[in-house]
Amino acid sequence: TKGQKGKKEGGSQNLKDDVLKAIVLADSFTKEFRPITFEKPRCLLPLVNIPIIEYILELLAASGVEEIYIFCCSNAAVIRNYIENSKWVLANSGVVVNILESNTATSAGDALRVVFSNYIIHTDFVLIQGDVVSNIDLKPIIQQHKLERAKADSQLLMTSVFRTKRIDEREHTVWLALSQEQNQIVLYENDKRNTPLFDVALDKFDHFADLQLRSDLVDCQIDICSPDVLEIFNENFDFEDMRRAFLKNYVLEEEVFTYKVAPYIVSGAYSSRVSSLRTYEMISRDIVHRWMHPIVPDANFTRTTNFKFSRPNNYYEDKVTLSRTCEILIDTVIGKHSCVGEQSVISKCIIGRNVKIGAHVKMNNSFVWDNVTIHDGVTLDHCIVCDGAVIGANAVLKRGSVISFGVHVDQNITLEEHTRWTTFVGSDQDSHSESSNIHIAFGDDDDDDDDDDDAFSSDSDTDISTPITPVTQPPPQQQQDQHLHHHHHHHHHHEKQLGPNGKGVQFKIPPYLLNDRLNFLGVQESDFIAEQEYEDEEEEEQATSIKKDLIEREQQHVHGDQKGMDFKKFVKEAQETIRRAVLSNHTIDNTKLEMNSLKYAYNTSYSDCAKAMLCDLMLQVDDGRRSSADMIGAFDRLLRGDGKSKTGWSELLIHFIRDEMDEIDLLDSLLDFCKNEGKKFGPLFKFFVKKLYDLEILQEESIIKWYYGVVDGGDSSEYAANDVKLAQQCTEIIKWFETAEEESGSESESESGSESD
Amino acid sequence: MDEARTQSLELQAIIVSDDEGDKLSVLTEDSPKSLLPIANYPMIHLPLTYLEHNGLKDVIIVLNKKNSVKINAYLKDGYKGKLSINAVTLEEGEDTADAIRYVHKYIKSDFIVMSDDLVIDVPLVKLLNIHRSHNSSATMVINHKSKEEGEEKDKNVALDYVGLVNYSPTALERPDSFKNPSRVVYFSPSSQLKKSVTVGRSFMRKWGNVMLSKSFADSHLYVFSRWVSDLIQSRNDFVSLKNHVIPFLVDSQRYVKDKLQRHLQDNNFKTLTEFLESEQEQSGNQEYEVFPGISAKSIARTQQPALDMSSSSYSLLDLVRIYAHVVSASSKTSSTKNTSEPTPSPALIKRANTLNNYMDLNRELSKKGEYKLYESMHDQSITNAPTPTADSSTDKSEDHNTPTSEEVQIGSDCIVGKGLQYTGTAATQQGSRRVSSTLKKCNLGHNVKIGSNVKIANSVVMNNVIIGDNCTIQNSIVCCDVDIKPSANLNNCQVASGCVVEGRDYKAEALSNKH
Repeated sequence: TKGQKGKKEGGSQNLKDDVLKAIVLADSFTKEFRPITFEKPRCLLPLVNIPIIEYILELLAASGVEEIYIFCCSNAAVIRNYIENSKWVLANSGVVVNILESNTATSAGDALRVVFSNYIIHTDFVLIQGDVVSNIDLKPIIQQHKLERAKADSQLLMTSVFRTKRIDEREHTVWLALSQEQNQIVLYENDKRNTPLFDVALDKFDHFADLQLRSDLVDCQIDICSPDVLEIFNENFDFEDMRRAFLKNYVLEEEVFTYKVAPYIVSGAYSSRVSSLRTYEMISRDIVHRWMHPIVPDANFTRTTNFKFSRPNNYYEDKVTLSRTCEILIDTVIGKHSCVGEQSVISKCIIGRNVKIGAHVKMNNSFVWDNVTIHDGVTLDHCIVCDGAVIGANAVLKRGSVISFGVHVDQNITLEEHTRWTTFVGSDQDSHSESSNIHIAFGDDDDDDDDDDDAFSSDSDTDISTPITPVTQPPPQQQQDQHLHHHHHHHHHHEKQLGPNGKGVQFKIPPYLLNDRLNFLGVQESDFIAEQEYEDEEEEEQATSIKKDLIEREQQHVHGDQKGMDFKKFVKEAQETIRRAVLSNHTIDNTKLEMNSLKYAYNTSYSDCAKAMLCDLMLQVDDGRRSSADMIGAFDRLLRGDGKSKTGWSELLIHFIRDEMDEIDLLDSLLDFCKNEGKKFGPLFKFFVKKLYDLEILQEESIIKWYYGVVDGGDSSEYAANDVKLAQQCTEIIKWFETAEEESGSESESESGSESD
Repeated sequence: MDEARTQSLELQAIIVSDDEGDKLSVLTEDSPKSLLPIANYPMIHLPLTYLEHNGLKDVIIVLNKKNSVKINAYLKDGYKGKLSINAVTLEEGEDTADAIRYVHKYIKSDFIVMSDDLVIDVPLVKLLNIHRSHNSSATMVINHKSKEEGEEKDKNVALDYVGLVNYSPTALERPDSFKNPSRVVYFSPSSQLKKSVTVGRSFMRKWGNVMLSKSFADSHLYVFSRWVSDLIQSRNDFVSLKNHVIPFLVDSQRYVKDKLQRHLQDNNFKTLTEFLESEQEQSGNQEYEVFPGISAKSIARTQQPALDMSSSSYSLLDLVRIYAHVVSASSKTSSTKNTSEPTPSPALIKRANTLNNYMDLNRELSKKGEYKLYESMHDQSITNAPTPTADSSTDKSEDHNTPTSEEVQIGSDCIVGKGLQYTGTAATQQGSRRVSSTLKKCNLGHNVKIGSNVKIANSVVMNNVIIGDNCTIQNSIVCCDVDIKPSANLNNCQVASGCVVEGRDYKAEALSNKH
């Protein structure tokens, strides 16, 4: 293509190496915007009435970048068409914008390999995701990167840009461990959803005396890369993305840091990614609130708009027609040739060009793109309405509704929260097999976290829909017709949902989007709090499960697998119950009730309850700090209580032990526990047995019986050699039992003897 | 500050002994550690001096069973300071939290806990400023070690992994640094960690920017709010302050505020004050407990409300707060670099719990003009001492028993006890000229006898030691009543009390009677 050729020539000239170049990964679509992105690439979607790509180009141009390569997998034609008709082709733009295209690329890694093989880049360059909206000045960052690189033996591979989070801002942050002294990233984690705990290995402290743990930074997804990055990607053809494969698993995983990635932390600047509907909403609002200064609506930086500021904080282009009685409250943007009817109330909305809004319309926090018609009496709350849609009179669109291109909503229709509507053929995925096929086919496994979607997904949307309908070529109108025709029979009820004169079907939100509802439109504070609480619970679980894993494994071993899952759950819950009970000092009776209900819920036996309890009590004894003697002491205290305020838990154990078999079961699980926790509990086994005997939880007879069962099991014994070894710790106790018995026996004998005398 | 307020802020001090990590070799064979001399004073004297000079009047000392008799005897007859001392002997358990539990009944106010082997010259008022102005639950001294200090010497010295929020090394020097102190959000002695420092999601959410380091060392000097003693009392699974109590408190900062806030919301209280008042009214009801047995009320009551009431009601809910006074005990090299400004002498914070530290402390405290606090200790001892010869720097004293400078040359960084005798027999036999002995950077106890041509450097020699002719003692510690035969050569050795050392070479040995 044109761009590629141009580059080859440039590369051969050394002079050109001083030119600062940037690569924009434009096709990094997430699936978050579906069904909208079925019909338009995300980077061309309007953000406060200006296509997203313009913000990136502006940022790069302002930072002194002279050559920009927009990398596209598909949609290249649409994007090229857009660029060719923009100001960027003008000679005075100061920037050369090229389109790089690859039909085979399926990831960011592929893109970089294509760049490498095209010999475009020979010096440090800027790499940026195609959805970044930012006002950060990259010049000083690039300068610092170059200075560092100029040093002898510089290991610097890349400088990544982070910004500090504003207080109370809801933005995904990353977890970082940084060495200030070395100006280096030591640990990086962006998949917090699957990572409840942040681990800093102690050997990291051998290299770095101090580490800064930061969770107040947002990863801007802007990197200043050295050309080595391209080479590394070229050599490792399985690397997919910059963050996980490259940074986390390659650069930071090494024992010795051969390479270095430096953080550059900006505070007070704006940078976010339009990665989901929620961030789309958030960024739009931020722009209107002038957080992105100097990029504000009335700056009209693309020279294609002419917004003017109006109090209190609204922006109008010229030729906007407002009726006398309508109310435009605040934070609203209205494009050219749009009009608002009588008595309509609009607040915090972004409205495109040629939009006709009727009378008595109520709109808040909504986004209405170009050429939309909204009839009288409509209510919109936190919605997106795309180009050409029509909303019939008195329709109500509840929070989070998405109305894609050309959809008609009939009058008096009410759309439920977070429903999405489209006229696009391929999107009608109501058969399960279809959607799951897509799921598998496109490796849609773990990048639903919008933080790491830079995977530059293979599944650029048109690709996905190809198996369903061949799409790219026919013009939209034709498609729609095709679709309507095709689907009239099958999806009658869908059509009806939008009314008799409606057009379009419901887009069934696929499960991978449902996973993260926080990415939807109109998310509320309470949703975040709920999510947080859920996360905290999960963390708690994870923290305790590290210890519990051991027991679970053991329990599974005892009970086989078919009951395994249920039983695992039971053990988990039982232990949770006991842990809570001990921590908050519940009474025996309450805990007994709780345990009983668990027992019924999982249909387990009394002895299972006792075993789960014992294991958890023992886990509590080991707080990782106590010496062995202290552990026994703590165990004793735990079981005995103090007679007053502290509950003694032995009573509860006794309650759940019904007969000799239960006692022997308990001893078995104690044995297993001590064996698995070998180092700590192994040597203490006999002491625990003794304690349980002292507290009358175990009877002499059953201990003896169990002991001989283990020790004299013979070859067919179910006990392993190390079981026997552990059990032999109790030899003394057994001897003591037996001699005591003998003594008392002989005493009574002698007594009876003397009597008979 | 009005009378009532002063009263309520009165502090109690508790000296505890923490035997963990004692690596003093044979030195403690015959004497409790607390009575080993540092600059010719029993070690226990140093924390007492520190507390006295920082204005305390009463001190509780918690002693272990095994050494209480000797230390009690010293406190009764030997101690000449002004503090009124209440020495109690621990009946069971022996660790620091056990000690606090044992003296719980005496604790009526905020209290200081100090380790009995700690030598420190950080003004206590710096901690108290933080403690009082930030309503701290516990305030501790963190010693930010320089890099070389962190890496030096034996690797088995226990490290602490400490995470601080709001840490800025440059702000430490400012006199008002107490207004914006570092908060301790992570604390784990290395003995408690296996492979990694692990923090959870809620931790990361709560603390945005944490400086985590193993060069922040806990100094074993704490100021606690009163309720902490109740907490320790209620939790008999807490054995050690450092391993259990501090980590527990530090960790609980993460959730107490949220927990309390949820409780307030659930019960429709708008502010903490409103909630506390309502609990006051219905005293019959069960009080809301932050920890089992510790009610929110009791914490809020014993932790004085913040001096600046500007703090929002939400931040008042943040009941458990642990702050640190961070001191960088940097080495001298770094402090002399900036000659442009008068740099304060580096802070002294050291526990005499290893041989190295014990030697260092002896050396440090022998230097003149460095540590005013402990020098005044010497002055005071002179006035109290029965004879003027108990001077720290004996060069000038003119007692007829004291050897002349021709017989024994004493370097300026030495401390020599009274009754030093020169027994230069070798010299008289040679008849020609007496060969003088030299002392460099060493501490000699009382009634030491030195032969001729003896060289002692970088060493500690305790009371009643006899050193024969031609001996060399370097980097060594010689306990009381040792008889060192002529021509012995000790390098890097420790000699237990009462040993007889033969006249040969010893290198890096610990000489003991018990074999």
